[in-house]
Amino acid sequence: MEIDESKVYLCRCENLTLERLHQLLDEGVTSMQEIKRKTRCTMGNCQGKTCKQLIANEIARYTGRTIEEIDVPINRLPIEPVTLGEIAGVK
Amino acid sequence: MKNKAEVVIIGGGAAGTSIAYNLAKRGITDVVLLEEKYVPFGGTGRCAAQFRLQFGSVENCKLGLLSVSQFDTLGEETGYGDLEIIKHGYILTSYEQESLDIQRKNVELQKSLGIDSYILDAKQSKEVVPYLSTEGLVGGSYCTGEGHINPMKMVYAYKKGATDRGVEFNDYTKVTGIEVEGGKVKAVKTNKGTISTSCVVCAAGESSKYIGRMVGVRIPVEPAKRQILATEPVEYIKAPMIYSFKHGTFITQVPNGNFLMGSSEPNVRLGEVDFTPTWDFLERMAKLGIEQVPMFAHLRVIRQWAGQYGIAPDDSVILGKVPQVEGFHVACGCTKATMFAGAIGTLVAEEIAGLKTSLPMEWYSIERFDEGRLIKDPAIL
Ligand SMILES: Cc1cc2nc3c(=O)[nH]c(=O)nc-3n(C[C@H](O)[C@H](O)[C@H](O)COP(=O)(O)OP(=O)(O)OC[C@H]3O[C@@H](n4cnc5c(N)ncnc54)[C@H](O)[C@@H]3O)c2cc1C
Repeated sequence: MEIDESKVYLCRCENLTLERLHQLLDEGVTSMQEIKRKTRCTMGNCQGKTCKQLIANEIARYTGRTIEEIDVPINRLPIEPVTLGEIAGVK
Repeated sequence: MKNKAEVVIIGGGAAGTSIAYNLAKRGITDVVLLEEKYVPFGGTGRCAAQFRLQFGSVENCKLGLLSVSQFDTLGEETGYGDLEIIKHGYILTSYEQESLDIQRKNVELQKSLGIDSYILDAKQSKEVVPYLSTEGLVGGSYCTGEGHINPMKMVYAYKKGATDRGVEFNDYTKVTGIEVEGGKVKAVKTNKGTISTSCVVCAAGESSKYIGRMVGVRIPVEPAKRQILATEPVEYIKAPMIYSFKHGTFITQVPNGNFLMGSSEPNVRLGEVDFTPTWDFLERMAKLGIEQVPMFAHLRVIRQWAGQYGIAPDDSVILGKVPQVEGFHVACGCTKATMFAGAIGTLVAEEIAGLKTSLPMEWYSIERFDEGRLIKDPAIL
């Protein structure tokens, strides 16, 4: 069975589909850092916790490289979203 | 990678990509751009995405005007499409009568140059930024010709415009040396080979001093860490960037709904490139942010990161030829390369092409530091 790549969402916060990812890779945009900047993937509310590994694995698989070679973005602080009020110590 | 080119550009940020495009537009297409990481790795990909016109010097106001006129047409001209330009304006807030008086003078200057800015009292300020606290606020200056541009889309538009015309971009290519012979540039050395050229442009942002050293030119730009945070997205309200000299902060909402905010760093070590985000910034920014916008207390932070400001002696740009080495050009936007990208690209390309430049290059040249002609601008944070 063929999967419809336009309906497979890798990044659900920023709507990156498998189709769009393959399109970028085919255009020669193969650094994950650049893919992040072009699509905002991993930059939504989940901050990549759901999607980052999935996208990295697919880039590596599709381009035949190792994860180390594709320039995976680091995780940003904070690990969990925190309100500014909690940080400042006000209610 | 080509082994010979008419012009080699070092750095794939706002400055470098704009120069590439502006050269190509003027018919100079035998150009190679070299980027150590990817486009845009440096400050351009880490900035707050704002462009401003409200400055306190003719030199900076003119750079702003020239840049905005280019941003207005860039998306269409390059065929890239929408660059998320939203002219929501800036409000430069004042908490003391004296600082509002200085702003009044700046507004007079801006108006004389055709920039449509004006002074607001505290009540009017609240009308343009409904979420701003007016406690202690005297007023501010406001202009609607400035605002937000997506810096990623901006550099990709420049890149598209340049590569469509034949410019070559090389990512993950680090410049390791520049050959100079008889006072003239001969070649650029990289980790992927050497390119013969008689013209090099240093657009390496806060790393420019290292490139300068390769040809024995002292470029007085020092890196200094600046941090920034993004909140969860909430409903977007088109309101101006809040820029406060008193708090040393900027606060703005981007079209995705996230608020971005950043502050100056009290204990920053000039000269060190440092990308580590720290807790003390979060705490300071949270307090300063809530003081200005009380509803921030309920908003969650989802990410924080750090970039570098390139600090120059007068915090303005350094552009153009250097006296010591023929064929070596500097293009440092220092703290404002994103907002001044249009002007930086235009002026540097015009000079290389031997055309009459749109603004006098001596205003921005590196020689101004030795000759004591600093750009005096009271409207810089
Ligand atoms: C938190 C923060 C917020 C900011 N907000 C704003 C804002 O709202 N508006 C604004 O206008 N400005 C803002 N700035 C400033 C702005 O980010 C910078 O002025 C601008 O991005 C610099 O652009 P550039 O093209 O000069 O340099 P960069 O974007 O830093 O590009 C330089 C490039 O050169 C490359 N490079 C360096 N050395 C070498 C080498 N040896 N070989 C090959 N490549 C090399 C780097 O990898 C880098 O990609 C902000 C900065 C920070 C840190």
